[in-house]
Amino acid sequence: MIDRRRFIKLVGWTAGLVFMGGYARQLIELPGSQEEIPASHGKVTYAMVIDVKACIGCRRCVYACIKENNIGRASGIAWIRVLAMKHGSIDLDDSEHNYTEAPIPTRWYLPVQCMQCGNPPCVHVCPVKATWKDPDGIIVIDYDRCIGCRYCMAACPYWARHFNWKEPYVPPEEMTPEGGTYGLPFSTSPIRPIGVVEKCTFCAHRTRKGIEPKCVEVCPVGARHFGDLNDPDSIVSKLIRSRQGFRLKEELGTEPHIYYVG
Amino acid sequence: MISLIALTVLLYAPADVHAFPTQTSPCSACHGSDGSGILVVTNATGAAQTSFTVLRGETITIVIEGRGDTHKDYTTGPAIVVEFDPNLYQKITMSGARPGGEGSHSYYIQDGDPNDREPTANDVKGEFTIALAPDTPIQDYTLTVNYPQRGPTGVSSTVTLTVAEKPTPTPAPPPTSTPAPKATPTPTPPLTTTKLDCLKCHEIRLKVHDKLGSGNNACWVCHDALKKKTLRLANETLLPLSDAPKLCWQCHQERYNAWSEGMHGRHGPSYTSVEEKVTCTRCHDPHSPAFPSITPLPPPPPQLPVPPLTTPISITVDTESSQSRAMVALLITAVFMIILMRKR
Repeated sequence: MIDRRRFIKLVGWTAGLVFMGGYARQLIELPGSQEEIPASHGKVTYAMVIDVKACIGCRRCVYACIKENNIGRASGIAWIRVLAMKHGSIDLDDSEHNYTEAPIPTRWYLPVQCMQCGNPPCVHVCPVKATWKDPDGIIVIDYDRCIGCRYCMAACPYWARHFNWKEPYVPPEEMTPEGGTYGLPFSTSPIRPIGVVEKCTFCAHRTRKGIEPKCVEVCPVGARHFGDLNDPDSIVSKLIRSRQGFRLKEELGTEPHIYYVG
Repeated sequence: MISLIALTVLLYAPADVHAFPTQTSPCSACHGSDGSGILVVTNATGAAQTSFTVLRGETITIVIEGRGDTHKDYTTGPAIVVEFDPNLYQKITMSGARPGGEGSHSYYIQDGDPNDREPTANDVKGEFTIALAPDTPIQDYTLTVNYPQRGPTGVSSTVTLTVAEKPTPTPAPPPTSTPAPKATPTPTPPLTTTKLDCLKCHEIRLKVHDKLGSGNNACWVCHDALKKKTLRLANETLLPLSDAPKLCWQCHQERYNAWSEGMHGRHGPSYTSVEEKVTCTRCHDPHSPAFPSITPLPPPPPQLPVPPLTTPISITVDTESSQSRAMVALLITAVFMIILMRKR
């Protein structure tokens, strides 16, 4: 026969487990808006082809990216930067970042962002494994693990990573729900916290659903092309085959996944 | 380079067809150099020949050789160019040669070696394999064979291509016992023969495309003169307005090829569906096709100098979020369990 003491104990345990289990589900579940983003898989390898002959340096991609990925408006961070290059030169150090007039006939324009390297130096140097290469080739950052040591920024030869020195502020009405989250399970907010490094994600929240990245969508001259390198019939595979583009700082062995043609 | 060599000779122009758009500056304006060269045109067997006869729907091979230049400043090397009559250009399929620049009706073959500065032998050899469409108009066409890097006006030579009818086997005479039913002629709707006066209603000022002509003649280069909302190719084919790329192709072949390859122009919202092609007129106004100038947005504010951190980086617990609540619930349960265990 069950005595009163054992009965109360049993009820207490059951109530506790039910109470805890209800909340524990929320811990492992994805937050609602991110549930639809398909997980990364190795069947695709994303790549971009940028036609530098077509680019007019209008910076539409820069600002579309800031808005899409909820980059802090006053933090001075832009995942894409467009360099005004001197005619006949590919010296990145000699380029102009803060031009105000474009297009100038003696200049050509080179949009630079995270190259989603096949052999990413930033991943190798991270001491806490907060950044890694997903199977589809996108280099992602777990902002909860990032300790803000900025080793990756020093290692990146393309100046693609940016540190949040300030608390990023995005006006609530301009917030994009999924922007910049990569669909990571523990990312609850589409804005990064202060003190972490961030960079271009190839708009993983769009591209994993089959939509073009925002910069490709807004380019008024159609200079950007996006697709799957594993598919020989994709637009990027075709253009790389026929136009034989170049990649930036190829001699470093980083195997960038952004190709330039012109 | 190639786009400037296009000096097309309009040899065939029926009385009612408007002038095909041509470029006005001669090749020698840019391509001038000194020296003299040679051009040899041969047939497939290697015998020198300047006039060829080909049947409609058949294929012909013309081999052209040229001596390189001692004064080449081209990094791409010399090329042999064949300029076609525009009406013939519509009807041929070329293999092995690349189409010339915009506005030209030419194909070229380029020498792969740009560094042969002192050639002694013919260093450019082009083998043009020309396939004629079965409906090519029968007549003699003049092809201009060009080697534009050589000499102030380039070395050119003229080749005559005669298109002849394919002999058809004589049909067997119909049996006389069963006479064929008399065909009733279908009445054809009366055709309007008066040309439309476009400028009576439309006030359109052409920019860039004003080189097509003036007045109504400029309209009729692309629009059909008799039928509204219809485009017309130079070979009299009528097209709906939605089929504009085929019309644009007549002058802008290089651009058209880049567009069909996916290089030029924009795509649909999805990168997986390549069918959604954005056509020429979505971005270019056909009457002033130059792309509108876009002023650049200002550069983003600089990230440096870094503002000093006034408050230390701290972890804030948001009591509203479900995760924080779950953590608190876990803690309470854990404490509750510990107390229960202790009591036992």
